[in-house]
Amino acid sequence: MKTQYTVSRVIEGMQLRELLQEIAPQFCRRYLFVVRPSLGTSETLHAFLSRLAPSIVSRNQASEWPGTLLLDGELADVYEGALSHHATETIAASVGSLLDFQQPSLPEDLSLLREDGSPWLITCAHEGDIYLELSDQEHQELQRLAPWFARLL
Amino acid sequence: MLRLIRLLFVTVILLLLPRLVSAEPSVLASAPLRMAFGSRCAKSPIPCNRIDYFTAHFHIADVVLLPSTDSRGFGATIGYGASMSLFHRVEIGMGGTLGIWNQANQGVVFQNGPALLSVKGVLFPLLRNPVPDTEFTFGLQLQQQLRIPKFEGANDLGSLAPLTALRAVADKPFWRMGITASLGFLLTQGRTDSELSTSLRIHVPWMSRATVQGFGVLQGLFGSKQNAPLRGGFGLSVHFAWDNGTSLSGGYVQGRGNGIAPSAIYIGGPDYHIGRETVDQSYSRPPIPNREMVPSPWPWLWEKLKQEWTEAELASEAHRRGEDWLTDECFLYEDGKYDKPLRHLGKRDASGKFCDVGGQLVPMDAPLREVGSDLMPVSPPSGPQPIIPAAPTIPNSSPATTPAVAGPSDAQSQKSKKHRDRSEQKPPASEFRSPQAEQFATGPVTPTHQPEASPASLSSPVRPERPSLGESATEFARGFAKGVGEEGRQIYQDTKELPARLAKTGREIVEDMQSGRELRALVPLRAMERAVRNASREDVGRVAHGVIAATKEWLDKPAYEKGESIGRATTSIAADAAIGALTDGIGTIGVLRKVERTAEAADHVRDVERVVEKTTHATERVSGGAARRHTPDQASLIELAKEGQARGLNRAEAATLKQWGAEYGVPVRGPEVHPNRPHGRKPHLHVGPVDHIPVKD
Repeated sequence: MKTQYTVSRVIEGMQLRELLQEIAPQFCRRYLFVVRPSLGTSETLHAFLSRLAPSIVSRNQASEWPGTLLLDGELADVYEGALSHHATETIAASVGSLLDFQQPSLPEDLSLLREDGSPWLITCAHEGDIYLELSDQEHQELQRLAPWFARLL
Repeated sequence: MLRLIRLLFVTVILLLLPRLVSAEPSVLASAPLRMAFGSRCAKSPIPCNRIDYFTAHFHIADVVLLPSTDSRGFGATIGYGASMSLFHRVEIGMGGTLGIWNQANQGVVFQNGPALLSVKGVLFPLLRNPVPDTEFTFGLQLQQQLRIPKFEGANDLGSLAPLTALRAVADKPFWRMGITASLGFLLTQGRTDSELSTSLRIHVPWMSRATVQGFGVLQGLFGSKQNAPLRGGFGLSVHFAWDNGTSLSGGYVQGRGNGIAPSAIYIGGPDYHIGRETVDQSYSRPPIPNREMVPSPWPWLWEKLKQEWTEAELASEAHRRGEDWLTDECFLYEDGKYDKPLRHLGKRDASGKFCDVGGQLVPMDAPLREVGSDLMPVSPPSGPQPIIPAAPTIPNSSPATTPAVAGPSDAQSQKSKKHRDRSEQKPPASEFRSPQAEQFATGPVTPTHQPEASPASLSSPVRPERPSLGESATEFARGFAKGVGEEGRQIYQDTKELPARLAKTGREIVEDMQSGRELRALVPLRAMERAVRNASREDVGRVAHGVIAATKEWLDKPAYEKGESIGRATTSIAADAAIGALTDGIGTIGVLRKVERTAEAADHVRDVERVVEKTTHATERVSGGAARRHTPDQASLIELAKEGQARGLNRAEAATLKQWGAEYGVPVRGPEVHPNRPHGRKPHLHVGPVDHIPVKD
């Protein structure tokens, strides 16, 4: 049984870096984001994909990803990659906050996934919404590992 | 080559071993503390609980240099061995240590230490595989030091007898650090000794793949002075490791007490790992830098090396792994400026060596020039020719002054690692380089390779010839005709649609007037009016600069393109005047469009001064304010979206807005839902800045 915890404040700078590089790897093994063809792309988006390419493990077309369900048959490219040090470093260096994940500058909606593929952190950037889906045990673990982050939930 | 040398080194050592081993067993006085067993430990005397998922591991030259003491001269020990790791849980291995030292009255002594059989296992966590370096672990290590033929040196307590060492190890990582403590017992014939060791390691923030470890070891805690004298040491080590499974380390130990080397320099030799570091990560994965998520001391150096890899290598590796290379689009780059493509060209073909540009296969390697809307190699390379399908629109002669053609000096820059040819792609195959292209790019082509080349082309093999005036005129005329033709066709389409548009506009006006709301037909006009009112001085200045830049760009274009743009402009000005007259009765939209088109045409022809002058006058009238945000079309769309937000949209209307958004460059998200969230549970649309427009079934 998992509970949703909304992140109440924008996380940026060193805190974002710590979240991606120190905290998330304790729970997650993969990241996910999408590219919606209808929103166009940009050089920065392509450059970002290029830098992350070594860690990306799959690209599928889907109408649903953590936090969002598209209607009317629209499909988006859903990318999944290994949450490696290289990947977290690239992501942290490319954005000011997770809400920057919006096309056409960058892919949309970064999520961090557990080993079983279930989402741990979900971003819906155009809604300004970031939240976590945690079990009680994970919540306690998070409070222990990163009390500053747990306080934002 | 390096591997061969290492292999040779090991072979020589093994062949020499029988000779090296002294027939008369001797004891290395003031021996160093032995490096702990474990493929992933930091080559210090401190044991660790770090075990790979599934690997074979070899270490061949872990050297400990021993400065001379009162009891012996300068010496060294060389450790070697192999081990196997299973499931982050168990590691088993065997090995030995060769000692070499200068002994008074004996000269240089070579001696192989006891054979080492080691096993270690992690007992906590018990029911699941521990993830190295992320959580508390507790393990046991057992090492058997056997004296067998050829392995007759002294054990860790300095006696010529078998020895059993049992150690319990606890490790707790935290932040970028970790602390390890171990309690051990060393059992040999007639003597039992104890050992307590601890270490504090830190993954250096600015060298995150390196580990610095400070440690201390104390032996003889519980024994008598005779049987187990107190001795120990403390030291510092630095450990680097590469993702491909090799590592190097260095350290220094200051020893205290009887029988222990007072000082020792530890140099961990190259290690080799084969297998999986974690369940997902293989050591044999080169060059894919898919680092594990374990925040380990692994190598910043490897990251540095990876930066040197060409994208072609990455693409090849992706191909080897049977994966799609994710970025197979090709882009056109200006020679020497590879951080920003000039434009998107198309997609890489199946071979990866050509870019499919509208059905034409353009080689990735050859420097290109643009001829009209087509791309042609700067000059034909020698040897096997890349396939460039005949393009009817490409003139056979080089028309003219194509800017930024790669010259010999540019070609030399291809030696640099980040180089890409003028025409090429984005990530992957971008670096695919055929031999002939390399030759073509790096030096003049000799007559042998290009017998048909003229003397001029030999001296400057990649420089195109300037066309003559007659050729330019011909190209200009062809382009002009093309421009007139295409614009004419577009206007014909517009004209066919005009009655329908007028009818629709009229219908909308009637509807709007009947309902008493603002006339939709005037929305673009109002939007444009707002844009002009809100334009800042900077905006206007940018427009003026843009006009000048565009004109300069136009002047640099080949004759064919000049002709084409003038043809389009001329036709559209004439046509817009007609449209303006037709629509005069219902407003000024057509007139505005005409003005817009006229200015656009002026950009490309010669009315720059006039436009700039007008713009300057406009600047004087503008009093500043917020920057202009939307074009009239975009503003209209956003107005419609706001209306939709108030009353809701049906699916068809949502689809229409989405289509218009794509057409006018306004981001439209949806229709979509965000299940289980407080917002957006119901189907909705986002149009630019207008959020949560309800979409009804």
